Amino acid sequence: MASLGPTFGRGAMTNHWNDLANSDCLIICGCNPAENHPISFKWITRAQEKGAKLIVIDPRFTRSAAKADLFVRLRPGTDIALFGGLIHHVLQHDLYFQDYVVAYTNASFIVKPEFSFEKGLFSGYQKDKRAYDASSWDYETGPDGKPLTDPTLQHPRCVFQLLKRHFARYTPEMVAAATGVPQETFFRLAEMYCATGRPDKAGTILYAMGGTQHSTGVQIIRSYSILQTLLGNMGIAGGGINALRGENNVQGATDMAMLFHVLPGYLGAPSEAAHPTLKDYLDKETPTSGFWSNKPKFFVSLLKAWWGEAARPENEFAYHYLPKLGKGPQNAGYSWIPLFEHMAAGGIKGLMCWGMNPAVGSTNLNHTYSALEKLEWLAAFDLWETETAIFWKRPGVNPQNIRTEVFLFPAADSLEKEGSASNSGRWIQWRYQAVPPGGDIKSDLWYVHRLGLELKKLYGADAAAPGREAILHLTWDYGADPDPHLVAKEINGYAVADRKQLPNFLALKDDGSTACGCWIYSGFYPGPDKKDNKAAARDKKDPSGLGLYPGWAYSWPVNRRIIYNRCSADPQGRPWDPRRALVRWDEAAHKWVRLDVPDFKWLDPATKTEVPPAESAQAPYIMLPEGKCRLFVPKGACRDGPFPEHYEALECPFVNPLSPVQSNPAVRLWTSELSRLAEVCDPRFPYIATTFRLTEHWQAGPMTRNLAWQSEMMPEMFVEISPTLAQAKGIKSGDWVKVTSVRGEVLARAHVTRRVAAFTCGAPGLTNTVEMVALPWHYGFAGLVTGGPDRRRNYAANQLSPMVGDANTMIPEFKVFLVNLEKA
Amino acid sequence: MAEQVKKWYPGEGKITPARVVLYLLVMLGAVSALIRLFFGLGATTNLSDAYPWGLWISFDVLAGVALAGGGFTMAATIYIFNLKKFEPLLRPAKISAFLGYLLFIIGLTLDLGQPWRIWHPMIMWNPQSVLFEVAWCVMLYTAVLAIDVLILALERFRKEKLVQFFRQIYLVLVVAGIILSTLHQSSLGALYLLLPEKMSDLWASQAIGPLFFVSAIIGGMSMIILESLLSARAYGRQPEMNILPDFARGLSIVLIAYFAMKVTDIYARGVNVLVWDRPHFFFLVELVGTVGLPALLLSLPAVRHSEKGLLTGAGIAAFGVVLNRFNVSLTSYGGYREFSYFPSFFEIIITLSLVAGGILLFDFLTRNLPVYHELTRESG
Amino acid sequence: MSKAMLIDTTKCIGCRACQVACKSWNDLPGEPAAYSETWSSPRYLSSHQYTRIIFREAAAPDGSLRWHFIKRQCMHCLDPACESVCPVGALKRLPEGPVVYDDGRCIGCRYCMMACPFQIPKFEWGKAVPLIRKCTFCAERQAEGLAPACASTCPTGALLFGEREELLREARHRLGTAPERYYPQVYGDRIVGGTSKLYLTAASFEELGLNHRGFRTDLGEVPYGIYGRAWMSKVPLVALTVGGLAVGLHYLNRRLAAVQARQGDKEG
Ligand SMILES: Nc1nc2c(c(=O)[nH]1)N[C@H]1C(S)=C(S)[C@@H](COP(=O)(O)OP(=O)(O)OC[C@H]3O[C@@H](n4cnc5c(=O)[nH]c(N)nc54)[C@H](O)[C@@H]3O)O[C@H]1N2
Ligand SMILES: Nc1nc2c(c(=O)[nH]1)N[C@H]1C(S)=C(S)[C@@H](COP(=O)(O)OP(=O)(O)OC[C@H]3O[C@@H](n4cnc5c(=O)[nH]c(N)nc54)[C@H](O)[C@@H]3O)O[C@H]1N2
Ligand code: SF4
Ligand code: SF4
Ligand code: SF4
Ligand code: SF4
Ligand code: SF4
Ligand SMILES: [Mo]
Repeated sequence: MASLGPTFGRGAMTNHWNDLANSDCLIICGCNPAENHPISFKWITRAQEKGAKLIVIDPRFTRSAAKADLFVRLRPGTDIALFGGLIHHVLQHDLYFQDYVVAYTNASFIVKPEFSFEKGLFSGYQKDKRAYDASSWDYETGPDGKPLTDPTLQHPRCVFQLLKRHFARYTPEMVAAATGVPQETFFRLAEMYCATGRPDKAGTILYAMGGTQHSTGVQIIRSYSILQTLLGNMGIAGGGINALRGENNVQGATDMAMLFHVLPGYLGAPSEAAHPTLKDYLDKETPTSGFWSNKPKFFVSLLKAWWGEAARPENEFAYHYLPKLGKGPQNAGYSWIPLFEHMAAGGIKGLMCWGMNPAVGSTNLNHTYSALEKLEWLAAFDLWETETAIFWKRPGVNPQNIRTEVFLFPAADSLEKEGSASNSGRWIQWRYQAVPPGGDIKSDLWYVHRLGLELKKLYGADAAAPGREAILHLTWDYGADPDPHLVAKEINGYAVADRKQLPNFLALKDDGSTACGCWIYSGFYPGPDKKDNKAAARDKKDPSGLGLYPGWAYSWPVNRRIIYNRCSADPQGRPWDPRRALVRWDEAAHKWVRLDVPDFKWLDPATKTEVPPAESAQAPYIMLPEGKCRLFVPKGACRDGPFPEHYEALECPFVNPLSPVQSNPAVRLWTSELSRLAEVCDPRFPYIATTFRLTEHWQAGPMTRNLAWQSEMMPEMFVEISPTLAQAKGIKSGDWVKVTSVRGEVLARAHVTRRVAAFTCGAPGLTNTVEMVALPWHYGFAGLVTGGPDRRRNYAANQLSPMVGDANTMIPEFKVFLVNLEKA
Repeated sequence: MAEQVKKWYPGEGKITPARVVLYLLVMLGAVSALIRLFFGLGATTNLSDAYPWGLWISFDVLAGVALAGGGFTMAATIYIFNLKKFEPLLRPAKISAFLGYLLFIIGLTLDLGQPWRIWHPMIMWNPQSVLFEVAWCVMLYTAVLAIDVLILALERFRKEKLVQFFRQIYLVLVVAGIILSTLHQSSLGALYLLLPEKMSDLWASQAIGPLFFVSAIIGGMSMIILESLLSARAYGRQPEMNILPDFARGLSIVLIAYFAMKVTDIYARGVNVLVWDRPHFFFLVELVGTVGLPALLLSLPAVRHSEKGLLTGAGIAAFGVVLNRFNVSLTSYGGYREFSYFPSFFEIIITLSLVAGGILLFDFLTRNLPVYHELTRESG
Repeated sequence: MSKAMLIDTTKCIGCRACQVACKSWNDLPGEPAAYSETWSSPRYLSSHQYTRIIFREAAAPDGSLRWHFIKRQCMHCLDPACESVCPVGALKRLPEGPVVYDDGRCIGCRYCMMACPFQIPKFEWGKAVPLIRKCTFCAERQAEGLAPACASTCPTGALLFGEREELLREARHRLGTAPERYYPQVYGDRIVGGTSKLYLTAASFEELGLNHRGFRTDLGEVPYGIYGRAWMSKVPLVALTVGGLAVGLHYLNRRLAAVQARQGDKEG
């Protein structure tokens, strides 16, 4: 998400599930939808039935790969090299979609002369900080302050030429050396996919954790994005870059800011240092162009929704109540790794663990456990007694030595409560209660609500409590038994004066007259009654024939199904491909024919007249200030570079063949003893390890390892190893083996299969063949099934995984680390 | 006037070690049967989805019925072929046939998943089912045999009128018995005709019905010889050496015919028997060792006229029939490749106890009913 | 017209949702299991497992890796062996397609298990009052106008439920339009006289090594029910012949004996 935002403007799947059926060529890369998003294969299969080609790029031959026309086995963590190679191929052979690139991307923008890239580093690197000063990563501007452009794309400093130069090093030989993909396979891949760079062809890329869980995760997705943009595959039906979100409502959760660095609707969280006042925040964070120029309206409406009466213009709408960034170890904020680093250092007293199971899913579990032990109290809200809830009696520890007080609150599951869930395709879908929860079980909403009321009571009683007003004045009226519809209505937003629901976010104001809990959702509950709840809409009509189903649920923003859809038509408003028309300018009628909700300014709100195509052609990516898709991401919006560059994983058995910079220079390194890393090419840990999911299990396991039907299908922890490694080690399928990393060890059954193989790569002269092993990470030590016969053991793969994260998102590098493997 | 009962043979009523063993076996079997009923087949047998049929079907049902084929064979010999000289062999044959079927029914009942539903085929019909036919034939034939035994009992208790009545309709019973036996003896083979794909080529023959039928005659005849010799030993009687050699000649002829049938069958179907593996080994043992060999032995007058020779020849022939039934039902059967089957303790005990029970009942009936002329207790 | 299911294994992603849906609909328990070399688990059909996905890694002709997922369950034969052998008529093919089982009739003889050419009926070995269990083709759902649980769960449409004739046409259509995808055969169209489960596969069952694991290719096209009926049709004739011969021979031999006796008298 942190790469799609800077590139296109929004961090979300650009198209949606059903739309996969419209594609001519699909790349599944860094995800495994057959196993992890099975229902997506309904649409992928439909596309295949219509003749689409399917390409799977993965280190492992997965169940998705089993359905592919082309399987490309690449060494984990080398996507940038592969996609860099494809980008190079496209540019070298003029396979890009010229008109699209010129009109809709920043290819023609001219970059400051100070910008450079040399020996693996972009300009502005500060070694001591392991960070870039990104001031040179910017456009050269004219006297009007606007970026200079060269629509011929010839200027040596235009983005296009820089891009060409940057990726010129990614030759097929280099691709093979870095990724292990043989050149002939690379050419087949290039031929198959680059064929979508035509107006009448649509190609899509699907990705998930195989792409993101790397120290270069954001840039990996950037490399996918650049290829897609060059081929003109963005904003069209059957195209896009589709992040397959994980948990059923993870999209909703991020929309609602279950992340440390944003507020609902992706409003950046203010920081103590940069934004002491509301004015600072709004001045600094509001761009002058693009849709984000409306940010003050969204932000103030959010403050109004939260603090109601207490949020007044004279007190900056209670901005001072808002907690700010700037805490956390090394000022990194509380993303996952820093949170646990801080916890391990004793900086955190209590943890409410809400619907998650870090004792299995977190990285570097031994570190996680040591952090949890430092807590005074831990409250787990879950359906099951998770590993986290019993971390104090995990295998190998004496409970008496752990002082943490643990509470387990029984939570209602999704079928026992009403509410909405948002899917990857941004569809907000209402769900009903199927059965009431039994016993003392309560919904999460109930718990939060009661917690809020209790806090209000406690703060009310303690006049000296710090931050007292922020709690006391919080809007908190959702009924005695909290009503999800009241919450939904607040999220949609209302006019403060008459409490009337707002039609959508276009009605939001920055003067305190509107309140809105999450601006991007505004419009999904535009009236007072349950019948107005568009998330519950279930109309199956599909007027476009493209599977947009506008009457089914509500897709944010404003029920738009395919975002950036201005790009589906040429600058004159004529669809590139009439069969895939989403919007069309009808010159005669002087009107837009709208099959999807236009993602551009098509109507002048003042005059109520329709805006001719020329204007929107200037800014088809409305969320970005420059209005164009960013092949080059300026200003450090991606901290580790404006272009993707291949670096090796932090733990890696190969020397980077592309540059002397071995690993991402901008990632933060942690210094605590438990977060140690193996050396580069560490002889003690000669194999690459990667972790993956299984259809049969869900995540950290409680949801499936407690169910006999699921458990019987995948009963035991295993590790996939190649027949060559098995032979070398004298191991047979089913043997127990011990896998060790510098951080921990785990027992697993050897699963000998041709689906994994060794990789032969490395710069010329340094080639080497290294085996890769792959471990599912679902097993643990609690539940009906733990992963092995011995309940006194911990079968969690994350005992091995490293404490390094992406430079931007801090997502742990679950997908590449080094291990050793021996017969147990 | 009290009937005087003579002691007929030395040791009668004495508790001999053999009897102790037999009674113990029966008791053990009864307990096992109870356990089987309460805990189910899975808990007590080694049967599985891969081997739904095991020892009880192979031995109690298939082999048992074949060995009890003496009943209809003797009936045909005496009443149809009118070979009256073999009459002394008739009654023991009837008794052993009856007991054979009785025990077979007990065995089968235990083998059924739902023993108490054994009567279902009587009212729930599936006329296209071979097993349905077998069920009916066995039921009716057992009834015929029961009447046979009843007649003996009536004789014993001097119910002359009733005996007379049965004598009159006896031909009907004989013919019914022969028809029923022909049908079910061959149909038991036909059960396997219906699973050709799971049967080894060695035994999967369209002619399995006739082969089963003829081998049941062998089973019956050899058992008659064995019974005569063994009961003579047990009771200190004289074996019927006047007729047994001739009877054995008959057996050898049937064996030769059977041998010819098998060879023709294998040849006609073009099955290669000269392969070195377990099924082929068992097949050759069966064909050469237990059909060819006794046929040869019994065709030699010297063998036929010696008790030992008869015992050996008939013994091998009877064993051959048992082996054939095991071969057809187990050696030949290839369900799941990776599974094998060996009967459990309970299966073996119950089978042994059935045999033991059979011997004890045979002993009881021969002593109390007019079976062997010289053993028959007649008053005063 | 009867219902059938077209199982296009080339569209199956091995997600096993069908396996779980079947358990859910039929209320079947999950069981303790251990690691399986192929991932197929549980390893066999059983009275608790009416269907399972078989995973098969196999090399394509060009040596590249292929991974096949093949669903297995009762084939619902058009002329089922199981129906023809059951002595009490507990198994019956409904005209609509499903081969169903009547709990109340079964005596537990297990002949259906022996006779089924696809080794489908399974026995409740663990119970003292055991029954036969197998896929029911969700006959109760069909009766309510619903598709079988597995088919309605399948995300990819690998399990297509419909009229047998139409599905056969569809299958042949697929073979015709995408010959490179398929092994040229609809398994089930004629084997054992035809089944209601029709398979399209990417490779033959021999290549997949499944011809001895429930997908035999040597079963022929003779409807399996015929074997039993052919035998049974001879029963009256055999009975009459044997009976006639017996009675005839009885009188003949008696007469011969009488004649011989008289001759003996004369001669004597
Ligand atoms: N059944 C099931 N479904 C799930 C989940 C589950 O636990 N179980 N979890 C859900 C959640 S929260 C998420 S986030 C998603 C995740 O969905 P996915 O991202 O699909 O999940 P993974 O299996 O972790 O990783 C996908 C693939 O990435 C490959 N991979 C590893 N390294 C690389 C690499 O460097 N490059 C490329 N191209 N591929 C690589 C792995 O081999 C693996 O096959 O799934 C969701 N769906
Ligand atoms: N090695 C390795 N580790 C990984 C990954 C990887 O690919 N490799 N992937 C990572 C990813 S992408 C993710 S998303 C995380 C996931 O890690 P977690 O989020 O920790 O894992 P889950 O098992 O999804 O935890 C969800 C918990 O919520 C409970 N639950 C379900 N419904 C409700 C509800 O309605 N209310 C409440 N209160 N509880 C509920 C479930 O019982 C379960 O215990 O793991 C990460 N860990
Ligand atoms: S969300 Fe549910 S239906 Fe959709 S793919 Fe995941 S498990 Fe299947
Ligand atoms: S597959 Fe077997 S159980 Fe199913 S209908 Fe056919 S014969 Fe009967
Ligand atoms: S086990 Fe039941 S269903 Fe099967 S053949 Fe016997 S009686 Fe019929
Ligand atoms: S048809 Fe019904 S019973 Fe048969 S496998 Fe499918 S879900 Fe199970
Ligand atoms: S549900 Fe469909 S795709 Fe999934 S395993 Fe079953 S048949 Fe295959
Ligand atoms: Mo996730």
